[in-house]
Amino acid sequence: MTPQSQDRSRRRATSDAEPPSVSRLRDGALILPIAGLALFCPPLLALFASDLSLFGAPLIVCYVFAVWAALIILARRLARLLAQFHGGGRQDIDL
Amino acid sequence: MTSSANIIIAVCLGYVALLFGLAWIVDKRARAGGGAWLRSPLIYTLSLSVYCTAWTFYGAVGSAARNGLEFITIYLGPTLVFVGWWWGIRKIVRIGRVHGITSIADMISSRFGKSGALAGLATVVAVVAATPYIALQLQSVTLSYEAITGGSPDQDARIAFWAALGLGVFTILFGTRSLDESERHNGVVAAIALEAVVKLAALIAVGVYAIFYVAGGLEEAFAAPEADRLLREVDFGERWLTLLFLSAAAIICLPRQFQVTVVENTDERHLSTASWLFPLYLLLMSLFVLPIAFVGLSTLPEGANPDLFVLTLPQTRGDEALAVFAFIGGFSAATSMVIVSTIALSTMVSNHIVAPISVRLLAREGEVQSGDLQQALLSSRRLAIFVILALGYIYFRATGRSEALAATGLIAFCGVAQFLPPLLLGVFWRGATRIGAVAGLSSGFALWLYTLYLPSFGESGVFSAAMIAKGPFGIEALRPYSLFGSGGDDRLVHATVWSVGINTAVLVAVSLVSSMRPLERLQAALFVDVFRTEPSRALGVLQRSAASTDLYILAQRILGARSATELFHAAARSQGKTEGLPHPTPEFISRLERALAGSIGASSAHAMVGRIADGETISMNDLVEIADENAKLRRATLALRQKSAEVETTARDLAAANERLKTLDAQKDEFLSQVSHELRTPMTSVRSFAEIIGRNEDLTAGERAHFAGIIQAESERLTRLLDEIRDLSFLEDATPEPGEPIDAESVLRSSAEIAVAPHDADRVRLSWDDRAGAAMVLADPDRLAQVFINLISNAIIHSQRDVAEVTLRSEIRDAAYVVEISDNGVGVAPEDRERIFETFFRRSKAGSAGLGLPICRKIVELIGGSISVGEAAEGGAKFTVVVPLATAAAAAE
Repeated sequence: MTPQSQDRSRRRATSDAEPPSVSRLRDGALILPIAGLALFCPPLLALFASDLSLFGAPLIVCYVFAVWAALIILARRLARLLAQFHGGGRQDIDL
Repeated sequence: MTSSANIIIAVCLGYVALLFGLAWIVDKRARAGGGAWLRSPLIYTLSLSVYCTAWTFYGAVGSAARNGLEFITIYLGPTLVFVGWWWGIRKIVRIGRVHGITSIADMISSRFGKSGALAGLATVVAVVAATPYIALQLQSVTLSYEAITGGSPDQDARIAFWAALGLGVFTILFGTRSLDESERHNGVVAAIALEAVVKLAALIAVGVYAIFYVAGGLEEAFAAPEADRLLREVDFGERWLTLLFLSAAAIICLPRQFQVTVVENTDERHLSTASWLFPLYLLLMSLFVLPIAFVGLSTLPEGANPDLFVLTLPQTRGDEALAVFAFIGGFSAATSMVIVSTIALSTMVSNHIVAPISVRLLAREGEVQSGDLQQALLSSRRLAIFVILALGYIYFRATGRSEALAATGLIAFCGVAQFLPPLLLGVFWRGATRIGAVAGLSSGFALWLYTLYLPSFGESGVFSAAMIAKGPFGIEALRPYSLFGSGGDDRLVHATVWSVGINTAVLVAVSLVSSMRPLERLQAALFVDVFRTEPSRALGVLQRSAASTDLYILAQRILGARSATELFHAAARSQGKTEGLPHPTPEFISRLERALAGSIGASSAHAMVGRIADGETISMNDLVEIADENAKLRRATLALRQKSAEVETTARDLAAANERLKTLDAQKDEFLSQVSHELRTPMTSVRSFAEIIGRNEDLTAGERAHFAGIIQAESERLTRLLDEIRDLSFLEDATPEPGEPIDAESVLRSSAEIAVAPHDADRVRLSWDDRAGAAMVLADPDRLAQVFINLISNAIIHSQRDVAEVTLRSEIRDAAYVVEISDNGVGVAPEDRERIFETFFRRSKAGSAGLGLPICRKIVELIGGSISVGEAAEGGAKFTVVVPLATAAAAAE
């Protein structure tokens, strides 16, 4: 067994036990609503309360709906990835 | 321009008939085992949209016309909760599924030790908080009906009454068919899903109409003179944050939202789809609110009710069909809310208020028949539906049509937000106690009543104008809208901060000083660690005994004869009994209690089973074990990881050892074949010369002597070879043993003389370079001499020159005796420098069998030294032998 193939098999063994991206996905699931809250809160929101307009709609309206849509797209992506790793999500045990 | 009342009533009845038909067909199909499409993520998401009530359909536009962007907070809060589903709702839904939770009151009471008092309190809070919300729906139906038929406000009471009555009948027909919550309300869910589509389509239709038909473009739609002011002057302060908080709380805590999200959930995976699809629905619902509001403000006459813009915008322009569609949309939004709300609330009332009273009835001896309790509870549910609608109606009549729709809705939001502290802390904090929850919830509820709900009846209502302005009995500190002088202009912010803040603070503080009963501790562990505990694991913890027949009678009374028999048969079979009732093991009693809880709530089920079971104890050991499940699992996982790492290392070691063995095996085979080959050569010549001597009688004495000499020489070679092989195998297995201290330099000197002796003196020139002088090493002198003789002989034999020049050099370096033997031969190619020390490796035909150098290396290594080959200055080979000095070897030991 060459050192490379040993190394490769070891890496495979660890990835079977705990796919490295699952914990990252969970972090993402936590960060998404927090980021959303920050973006929808007064300090950031007030920045966009100006008389500028985009495609005929006031800037702040465009901003709110754009952030909203972005949250939906990210949540969809996240939900699909989480569903992949957790299958039915019925018997999973969190640690 | 108005539509005739008859047409509108006909349209409404037609629409309701459509819903009836759909609900009826779906219910029938579902009972026949069909209706799989109902259990899809899309239907689940559409049923969640019961969040968008008449408040959204009419009130959002009204709110936007009054306060600009503020309306959107009501939809952003739920969006944030749903995109963060993984950390919040997922856990609540899991708990709901595992424990057969029937309502939010059931959830809270079940968490806090199945407390009946807490369940009753939560039910009261939910019913009281729902009244303004139901009133809001009645108000919107009434207002929109009057607007579209051109009726006058004096019709209010009549319209609202008939609307409430109609909704009550519909709900009873489809919402209270059976007592078992696991048999979900399929027909109702289907009707709600259809209504969700209708209200969305209607709002979008009106929005597109307002932008492109009335205003003539997006820019024009936002061009209303008020638009700029409303959008620029939004108060992005405490009110904004409060609304975000309240709406986020409401999406979990509203009884009807809890009903559709948790109780009606058929598959946890649906939640993952709803996490983005529901926010998308909310976004689509909100997309056209601002344009409709601004177009309404700029085109409708002054004084028009902004809450009705959705309806009056097409109506005043004569687009009757669209106006009717909008009316149906608003009607859908209102009816779906009322239906689901009353189902959820009536379940709570019958489970947590009526059922505990029937526990008393249970004790009464007398005629007992199967299903009697079931019937009583179903009747109580039906009655409760009418009572709840009546309360909403009374609230509507009392408050009149004064308030904006959104303001009324927010009173309800603040009321149900009182559930948030016990719900969240209960699910995430093991230390929250029942007493803490009761104290927190009741103080929050009282503050909400005092600061928001009771004053909302107006100055002629419960509180007089003087009392609101100056406080009760003139105590200024107790003014409802300014407790202790706090609070600014916003009553909602004031009430929310006080009620939810005190609720949380009291819950935490009382929990810290109060103690928990064992059942509470068990439930707390099961709820907080729902993802880590095996659901069936907890069943045996509660130790009770009861007679099987008593349990059977109880189950029959609540579940009905058929369901009870099925349940008991299944349990008996799983215990291995072919007939009769199952053994009343603690597991079975707990399982039965859970089944009953699905019908009547955890606290009532526990109380009812408790009446016929005695000796209820909770094994402390089991409890501690369950409470420690988390720690245990962690430990187990760690141990497992460690073990797997160990196994991995062992496997690697084994693989390496296997490789080594394979190599050794191959080497041994090679060695044997080489040995036989080497032995064969001298043997062949011995045999052939012996044959010559034996067969040829006429050989001369000279020839005979010559052949005998060859035979002798070959025999000697054979002997030498065998000696070497013996040496080698002996050295292979030898363990290093300390030799005696000897002078290596003198061994080298004598070895040189012995090595040179057999060769012609003029063919060999031996020269000495630097000398080390006496150097004491630990070694067997004969073995060391063997090494030197071998190396010097090799240098002479392999030189292939006329005169072999051999240079010897010795020195003491780094506490070791170093000998260099250089020759003027062809040298050793770099790639051969390691291989020449392998057995039977020969560079040329001359010399021995190729065992000399391996033997040398073995000998030197056994005394802790090393031997290597390099290139001499003249291009020949240079062998270097390093042997540690006796002092160094002693120090090393």
